Amino acid sequence: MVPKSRAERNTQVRSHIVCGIIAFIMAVPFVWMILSSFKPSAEVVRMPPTFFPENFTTKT
Amino acid sequence: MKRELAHRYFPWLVLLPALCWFVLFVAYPSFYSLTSSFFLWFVQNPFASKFVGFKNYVELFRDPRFITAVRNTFVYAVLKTGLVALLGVILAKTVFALKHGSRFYMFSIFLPSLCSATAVGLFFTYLYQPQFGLFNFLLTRLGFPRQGFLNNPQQAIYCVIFTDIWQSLGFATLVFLAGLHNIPDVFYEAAQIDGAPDFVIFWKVIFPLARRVFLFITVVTAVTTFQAFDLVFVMTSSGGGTGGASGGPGYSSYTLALQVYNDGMMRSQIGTASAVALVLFLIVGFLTVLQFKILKPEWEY
Repeated sequence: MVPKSRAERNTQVRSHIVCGIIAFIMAVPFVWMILSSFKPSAEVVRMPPTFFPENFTTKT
Repeated sequence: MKRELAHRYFPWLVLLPALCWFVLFVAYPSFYSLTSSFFLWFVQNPFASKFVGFKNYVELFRDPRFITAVRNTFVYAVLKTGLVALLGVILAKTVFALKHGSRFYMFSIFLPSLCSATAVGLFFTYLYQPQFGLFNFLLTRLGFPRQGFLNNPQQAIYCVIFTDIWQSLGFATLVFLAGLHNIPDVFYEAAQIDGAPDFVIFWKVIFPLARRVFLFITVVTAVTTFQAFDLVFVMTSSGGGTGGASGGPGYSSYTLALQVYNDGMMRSQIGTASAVALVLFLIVGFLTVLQFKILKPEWEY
């Protein structure tokens, strides 16, 4: 299943890029939701927001 | 003789449970709703209800809330159905062309469909939040002005539509992908040997052969969207800043299903609510028949 021609490889690369971007957009809010569930309440509403929980908690 | 009798009534006996269910939970409520739409209905004492003919309907079409609701519902349905079908088929085609890693992409694309609408609605309300929401943070970082999102009457309904598209794109992509796998490879190969560009392959091969899938996706999405309630209810009540009343700032993100709920449950105007529900039913029925007519598959392979 190795891509044979140059054109075919280009198609594969293009498809991977498009899928990657869309999958990223789709996944970010979801991952953000899960990560936010481990933040203490004060950190959830902090500005600027943190991506990874600084004070990891399971109390919430 | 006896045997013949048994033969004749046996189907009815088998049908009885389903028939009971249908009469109790489908036919009777529908009939109740239909009749109550012609009455000035009193919740406390239904037998004292006054027959008013088509007054409920006439008043409905003079009601600016109803006009807004119809417009919002149509915008919602057209935007969501169109974008979900378009993005879904493009995405499915792209994933379909991949040789490796398609499972990983499908996983992350399908992930939002697994969440309940309430959870998604609440979470996006928090992302849209004007002060500390993620979207406004990204916008200000990129140098754009701060947006009101759900607090802005012009943007509220579009924010809800975006959330809904985000949530239902995965399912559409999955169904389209299954449809693409169903098309025999010979058609692609023949088209490729003839040197057809991607666009022509899509329009002349995939679209006609996957017509049933298109029909399924557009009908299901359109019907569920016309009844859009959960996301609008959750997002505009807690994020709209109107003190608990859903429907966005003012009535800007009213939809028909929301009006049924608000009129019937909150304001106890069963007659008006039934009239709205009936209009909604007629619109959905008409559009579904239309879609079946337009997208009817012409032939099989």
